[in-house]
Amino acid sequence: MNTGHQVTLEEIESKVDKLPQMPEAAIRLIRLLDNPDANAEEMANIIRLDPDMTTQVLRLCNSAAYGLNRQILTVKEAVAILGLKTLKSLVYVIISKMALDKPVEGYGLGKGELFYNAITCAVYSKYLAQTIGGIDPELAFTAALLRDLGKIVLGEYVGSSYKNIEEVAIRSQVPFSEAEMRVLGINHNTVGKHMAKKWNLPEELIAVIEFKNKPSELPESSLPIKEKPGLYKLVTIIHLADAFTKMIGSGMGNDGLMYTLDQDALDQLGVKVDVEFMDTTLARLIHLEEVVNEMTQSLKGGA
Amino acid sequence: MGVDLQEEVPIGEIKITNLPSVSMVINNLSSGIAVVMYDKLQCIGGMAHVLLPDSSLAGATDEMTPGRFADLAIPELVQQYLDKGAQKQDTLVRIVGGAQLFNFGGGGTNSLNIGTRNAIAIRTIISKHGLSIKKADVGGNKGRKIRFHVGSGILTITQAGQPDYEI
Repeated sequence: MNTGHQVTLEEIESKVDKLPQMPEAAIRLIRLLDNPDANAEEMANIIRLDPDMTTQVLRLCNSAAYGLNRQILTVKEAVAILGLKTLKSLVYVIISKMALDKPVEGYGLGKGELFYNAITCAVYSKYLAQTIGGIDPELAFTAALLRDLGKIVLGEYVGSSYKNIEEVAIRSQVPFSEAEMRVLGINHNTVGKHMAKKWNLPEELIAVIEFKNKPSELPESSLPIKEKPGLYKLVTIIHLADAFTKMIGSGMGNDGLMYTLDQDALDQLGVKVDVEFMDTTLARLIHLEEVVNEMTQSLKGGA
Repeated sequence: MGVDLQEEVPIGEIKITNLPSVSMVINNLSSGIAVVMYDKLQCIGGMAHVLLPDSSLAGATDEMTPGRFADLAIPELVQQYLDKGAQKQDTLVRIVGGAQLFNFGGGGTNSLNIGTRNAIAIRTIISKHGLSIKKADVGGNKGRKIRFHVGSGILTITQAGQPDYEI
């Protein structure tokens, strides 16, 4: 069988270098967000200097998704009312929009679909973190946003080798990402990891991007991770949220549902994935569609 | 020539029309199933986009849209469709969707396969209403886009990596 065009890491790195630069404010914010000593005033000062970013922050925090009962008019007010943790996740939503809100033809995604999918998975991850416990729901939300970042760059190659990748995935019943690896020599998780490192994204987000399709590979990985057990739980929650996002279908790409659930990781998480769990959780998650719509609608037409 | 009107049917919604220019569409059909009813003599079309087989199993609450659950959505679809003047004996029922993950739940069991369970529940409920499903395109591991043109009754399905087809 023709295994398709093998893609080298050098080729990917050169593509990543050619991507449009993130706005200066976003780059500075990412650096600040990863700093545990970051304070809200510093963050507000960076946001204030970028008019587009300011508009987006105000639109988002005034959307029904945040349920505030008064109108926020300035970034300073936003910081005071939302607090640092929520402001961080809100800033990540805006950064994700900058990165993801474009068509990704190789995965059959029109403009806006990858971003909508990201918000959906983030909202679901937050809900699962709240119900399962042990992980900060706001962290779960943030960490889920950029999980499919690598699709933006790998899409170009997936498009021309789609039939081969699909055949490998279905024949071997392996995740589409594993089939990408077999056909192209690289997959969207590895590509995403390189992009995330280049953008100096925090360690937790990089681990989610790399291991979201197979969390049980994380504990054996050589990643220099500070607290692997907590991180394992975080990646598994996002893995589960990702599966629900695929079942519901919001912003789904050509890779569709060609994925598996990682039973070992779910056992570790202590979640019994039976009929009752699946149906009750799906019913509650689809009920959150309104929150997803409010978030994505509030950012429509902006930078 | 009139303008073709596209109406999206999101999860949990039911749409009925007798306007031949309408095309009902679902762009992200995944594990959910579209139940499509068509009376070609009177040109009446109906569609429900169902996500789960059973409202009580799913612990549905009052604020949840009933159309998300097959046991509540289908009686409502049938009622609205007949109220519009459609006749059971002239009705063509088709179902599409029900995709699922690989090896869902492990151990080869299919009890967790929401797509399969949806299809089984829908067949049972449809037959309780004196109707039967004539054509079905369910299962697989890919999402679908569907377009049901009420004027012609044609139901077109798009899946990644293959030409469009009709059922």
